[in-house]
Amino acid sequence: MTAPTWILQASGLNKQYGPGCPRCQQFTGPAHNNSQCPICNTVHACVDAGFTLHQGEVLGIVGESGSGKSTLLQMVNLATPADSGHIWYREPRTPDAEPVDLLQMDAYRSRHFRNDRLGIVYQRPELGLNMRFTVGGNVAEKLLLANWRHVGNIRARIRELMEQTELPPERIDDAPHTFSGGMLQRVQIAKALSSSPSLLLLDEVTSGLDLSVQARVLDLIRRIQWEQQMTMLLVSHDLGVIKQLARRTIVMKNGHIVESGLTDQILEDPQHPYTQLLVSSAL
Amino acid sequence: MSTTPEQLYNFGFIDEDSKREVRRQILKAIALPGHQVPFASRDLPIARGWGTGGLQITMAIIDANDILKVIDQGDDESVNAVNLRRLLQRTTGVTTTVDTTAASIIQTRHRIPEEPMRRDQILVLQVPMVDPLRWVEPNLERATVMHGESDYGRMWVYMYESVVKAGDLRIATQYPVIVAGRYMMDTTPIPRWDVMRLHNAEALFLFGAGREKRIYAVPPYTTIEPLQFEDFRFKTEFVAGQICARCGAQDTFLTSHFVVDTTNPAGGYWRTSCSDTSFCDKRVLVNTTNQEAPQ
Amino acid sequence: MGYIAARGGTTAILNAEQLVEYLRLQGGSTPLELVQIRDQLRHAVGRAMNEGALYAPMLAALAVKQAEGDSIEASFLLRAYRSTLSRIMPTLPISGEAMRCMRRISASFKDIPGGQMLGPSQDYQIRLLNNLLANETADAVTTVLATYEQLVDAGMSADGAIGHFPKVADYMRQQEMIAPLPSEPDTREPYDITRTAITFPCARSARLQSLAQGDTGCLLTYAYSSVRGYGDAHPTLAELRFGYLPIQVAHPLTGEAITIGEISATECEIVSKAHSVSATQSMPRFNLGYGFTFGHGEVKAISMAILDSVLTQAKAKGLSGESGPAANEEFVLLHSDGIEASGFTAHYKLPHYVTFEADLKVLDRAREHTATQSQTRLQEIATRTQEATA
Repeated sequence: MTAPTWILQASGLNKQYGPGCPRCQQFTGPAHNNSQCPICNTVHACVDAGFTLHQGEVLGIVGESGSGKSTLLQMVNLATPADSGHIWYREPRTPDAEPVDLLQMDAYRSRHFRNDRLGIVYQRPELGLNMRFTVGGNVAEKLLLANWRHVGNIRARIRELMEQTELPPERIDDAPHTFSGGMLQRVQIAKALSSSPSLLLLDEVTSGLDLSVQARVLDLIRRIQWEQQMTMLLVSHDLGVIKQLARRTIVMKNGHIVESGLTDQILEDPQHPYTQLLVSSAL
Repeated sequence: MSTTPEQLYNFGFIDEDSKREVRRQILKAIALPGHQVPFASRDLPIARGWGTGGLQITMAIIDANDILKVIDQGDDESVNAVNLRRLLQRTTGVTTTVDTTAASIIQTRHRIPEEPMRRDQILVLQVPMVDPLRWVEPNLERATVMHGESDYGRMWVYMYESVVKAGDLRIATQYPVIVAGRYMMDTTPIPRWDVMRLHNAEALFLFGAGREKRIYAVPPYTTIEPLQFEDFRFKTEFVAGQICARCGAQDTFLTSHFVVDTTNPAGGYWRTSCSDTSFCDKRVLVNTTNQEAPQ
Repeated sequence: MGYIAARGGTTAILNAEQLVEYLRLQGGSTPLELVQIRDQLRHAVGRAMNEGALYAPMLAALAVKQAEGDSIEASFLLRAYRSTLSRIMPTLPISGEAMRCMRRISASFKDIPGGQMLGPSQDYQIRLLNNLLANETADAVTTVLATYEQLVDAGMSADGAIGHFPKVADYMRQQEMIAPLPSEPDTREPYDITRTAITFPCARSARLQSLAQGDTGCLLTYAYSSVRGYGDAHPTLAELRFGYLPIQVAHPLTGEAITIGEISATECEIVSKAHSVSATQSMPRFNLGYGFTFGHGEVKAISMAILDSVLTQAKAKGLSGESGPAANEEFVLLHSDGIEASGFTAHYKLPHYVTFEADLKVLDRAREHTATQSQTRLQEIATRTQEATA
């Protein structure tokens, strides 16, 4: 284990869809530009992934679609069960406590850890929100699962979060379909922050938005990161977004991590041919 | 016909293997208060939705020495109660009663009797819809996982939304409660008046859903916590000043019905009376004996 | 008033039963004999057996008579009767190939081994009402039967294998168009939904058993929706056969197979256009859907086969219900039992006055709340107006 400021240490994370065969490795991976074995049709979504995440840091995960970055994120989110590997977690509020392997927790503890210590924001709001509830109800969900039982207090907290995420608090009881795309991303962020999580997971959060709206949402995220020293895992296919927010970055291709390091270094001096391709094709 | 059809059937109608399965599932339900236990619900001569779940529980546990009471909406003489009692009586020969205090097994639809039940009594409730999560998750597979992980957040959001939209907890009956601090349970269409009777009670409560094929139970001395907020508490239907027009009770669940004025076709009035008719009758008898006129 | 009268309940029920009996007989016509129903209304009897999940033609005829022709009611009577019978044992697995066919067709190929046999089918009859049937006499019946006997005597072949045909599906297996049968037959007892409650996800035997006793109209609706676009169904009829199946059980002591009788049954197999590829196969294949009914139930057997195929595919792809409700196994199986569905839909006739009373109280409170809210809002507007003009 490394220096005490780490919050997450993932190693050996694997996820495949299909039975696998002895020849999979021969035909899949970045060198073959392929994720699916032609013999047994197994998709190797994530292969032997690992990284360290420090408190207060933003780690970017960049790659094209199908690279495995969302799979990796969802394994950290404890939503997709990993086939193998470890995710060691050290709770920032109790730095002297023993680290816990999140993948060894039972379903009940997983569910409650996820609700309490993690926050997630999806590209599409319907994945992170329930369109049948009000905006306030959506933001309240994590609080309610954490046993908040006073409606007055809950609503006060919701309004607080809405202000924090630059949403008009008087719209607390409105239906989500009356909100624009950018506003719904803010609602997701408000919901994610409601439990004061120690880690925020962001999955392509600006990829569906207009440039100007994108910029505002990114500004918000940057502000929250700065004010709360929030640890974040940020997935994007857009190097521009990564550059704005992530101090360190890992690059994925065909399920493998091909390069990792300081964002600035990677952008200036990419080592892996795929990273070079990415950097050169970015605006 | 010299032989009435019922004589061709087993004691309690369903066969012994079926009874055994039902009893095993009942035991499992008692061991996991509030948890829905699947059972292979048999088809009965009564239609699905009309009490087949409650019937199968009663058929599985009843023996020749039991004394049976059957009520519907609290009334022994309601047509459906009469019909179910008829089926049970003919296939078992047991003595039946309308007196709550004399019965060993009471099968009921939508009410818990007003007189508190004792530890030697069992109340069998008929359940139409089983899963309290159906409002937020109709898919059974996903709802089962939610129960397994105690993942009730969405149901609490539903309660929050009802407060926000209607100014109060909007659920009238089938009120969701947490049983023994663990499972969320649908209390069936009993009025909220009756919900807390399940809490810390002496008697055993068994819930049977024939069509949905589930059994659940609230054993004696089990905690029942209705879903509520600190600033929006669970309330019963109690209205101050309510009174039964027959027996004068002010502390029972009342229902209203329209009384037609035989002298004036356009006239008539609404009358409230106890839903628990046998309890009401007892009080009327007491009143008459004591020569107290009802208010 | 009926529902809450002190002593009226029992009398009301007995009177109601008497009235039902009266309505059935009031015309004064000759009482129907069970053999008449069994012989001349074979589809009504067949449907009662199917949805009643009990093969017993005379009991089914009785049920149809007692129910005055109401199909769901007749099935209900048989289901209830079935619950008092103890289950003795499952039969040995029966291959459809053992059927003595009266009818056997395939839409997949023009010519099939054994040939296409139309059999007793109304498919190509022109649907004009035949009022000769209105005055059918016993003599006419005798004449028809005698004529037919002569035809049979003349056409009877010496070949003992009358009515036995190989399966079209077996031919398809040889050509590797569909998945082969397992090399080792599965000797486990199939899931019995009458003995163990069905939970989801469920085994295919549980699904097929549920569908086999499902309401014909319901299965038809789902199958129809799935071929109209609300599903991934592109079926071709591999084979439809109707005839007599021998039933065999294992002797309790010696274990040898004993034939205990035969039932009339309809069996349908369809292949679906979608290609399925599994981990154990290297080549894509068609999907096979299976349908089965007691008696002669072609529409139901075909619907069931289509549904089986749609549900298998949806499950394999992990898409439940995405293309339509017919692709959602839980949705289909929970809503296709006619006895359950009709029972619950009809239960709204039962007294619900206690719950309604509770609903009324909630309505009162909601009204109060709305009234208070509008008052508050009016006050707010008034205050704001005041402040603005101040």
